[in-house]
Amino acid sequence: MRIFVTFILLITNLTLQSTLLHSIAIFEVVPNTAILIIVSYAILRGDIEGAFTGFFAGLLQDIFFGRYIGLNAFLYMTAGFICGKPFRDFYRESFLTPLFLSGVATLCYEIAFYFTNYFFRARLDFLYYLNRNILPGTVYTLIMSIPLYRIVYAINAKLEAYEKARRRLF
Amino acid sequence: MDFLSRHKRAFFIIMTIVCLIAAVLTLGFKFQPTLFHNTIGYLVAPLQNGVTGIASWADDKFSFLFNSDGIKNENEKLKEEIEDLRLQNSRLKQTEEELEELRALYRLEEKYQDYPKIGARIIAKDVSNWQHIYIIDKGQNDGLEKNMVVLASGGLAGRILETGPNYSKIMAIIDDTSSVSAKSARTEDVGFVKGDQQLSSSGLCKMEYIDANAEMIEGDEIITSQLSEFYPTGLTIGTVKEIRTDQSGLNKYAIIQPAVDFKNLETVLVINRNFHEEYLDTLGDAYVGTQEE
Repeated sequence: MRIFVTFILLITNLTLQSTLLHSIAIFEVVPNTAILIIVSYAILRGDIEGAFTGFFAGLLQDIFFGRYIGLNAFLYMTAGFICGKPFRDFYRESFLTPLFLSGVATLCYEIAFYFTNYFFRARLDFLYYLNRNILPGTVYTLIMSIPLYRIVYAINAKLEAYEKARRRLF
Repeated sequence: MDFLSRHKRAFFIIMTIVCLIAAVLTLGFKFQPTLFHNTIGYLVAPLQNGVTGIASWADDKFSFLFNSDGIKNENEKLKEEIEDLRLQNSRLKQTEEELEELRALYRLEEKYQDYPKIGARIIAKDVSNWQHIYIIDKGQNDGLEKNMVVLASGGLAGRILETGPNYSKIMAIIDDTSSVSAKSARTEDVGFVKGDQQLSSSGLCKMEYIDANAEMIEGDEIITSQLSEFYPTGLTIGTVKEIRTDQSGLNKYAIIQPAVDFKNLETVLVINRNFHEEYLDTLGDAYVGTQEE
């Protein structure tokens, strides 16, 4: 049940992110809702589930929009794994954890993407890419992080209630 | 789950190695797990199609609310433009007849207006801010294959990278990794039109490896050259906006304004002939790659 719901969530996110979110893009920058969902998932459920969700979300994005498979899968999986490490140590209702972790995760993801796809092709103008692509992307993603955390939190709460009910039957 | 919890780090390392191997296989050896791609694409492409359809329906229905004054002015302007275009059209028809006769004289085959074309709609655009990759709603079931050329509003838009049963992935010419063999229509100077991430935010691209003694000026039309292995010759790419000399002072490069408006791209035409296959057939066994990707 949880796997099914996560799958539907990831596919919906990919569909909406590649179609509707472009119409609310600012300066040609689209918020990276995939990484927001993964970080929220990792905060709520821990590192293993965060890592698996990240792996499959990255795989989906690679299949559709990548020249080769593996980079997005690896980066999102790392984000899920690392952000899931402190999941027992923070209150879930606080909004600072997802805000901070999403910002750091998006920043690292964009820098890693630049590094592997641009730096190694002799596009060494890092400051330009920082100002035009990386920082606007991070800021816009940060703005969307809280609403998305609430959505994932609500979905997760319903799933946990459902699982609790199922366990009580036995 | 307990087993997983105890061996987290090992699993993480194993999955990292899997990702690395997948990247090496797909990038280095160009191995594409097409069955896997096609399954996922087959499921998701109709969803993207549906969402884009709903969005453009809503746009159609509600745009008049915001635009009624503009629509009247636009109407007037369009009527004037139609009159101008009618005049131009009749003049061009006469020129076209003359051109037909001259071409028949030189026995030139296959003007590109005669290539079989299939119309398609863009249903999704890449989510990362670093690439310009689009998904269109036609695929192998409509006869499209890899490396087919994509046109939009009279200019070159890109080419197909991959196809699935009901979708295709195309790469725009302003994408950072795209490179098209091109020449100036007037002076026949060859070069390569490459996309650049820094220019593509304003919708421009650049033309490199132009000979330093070339006589290109601003406003020159750039078309695909006959040296290309993916694109047929004579397709309009754009016009020269600016010419600069690079830092070494030996080469010139030009900033090109493409004929296609990539910010508002919605419908494209795919040429239904695989020029890459034809090129490979002419070479036989002696296939050597060019600067194009």
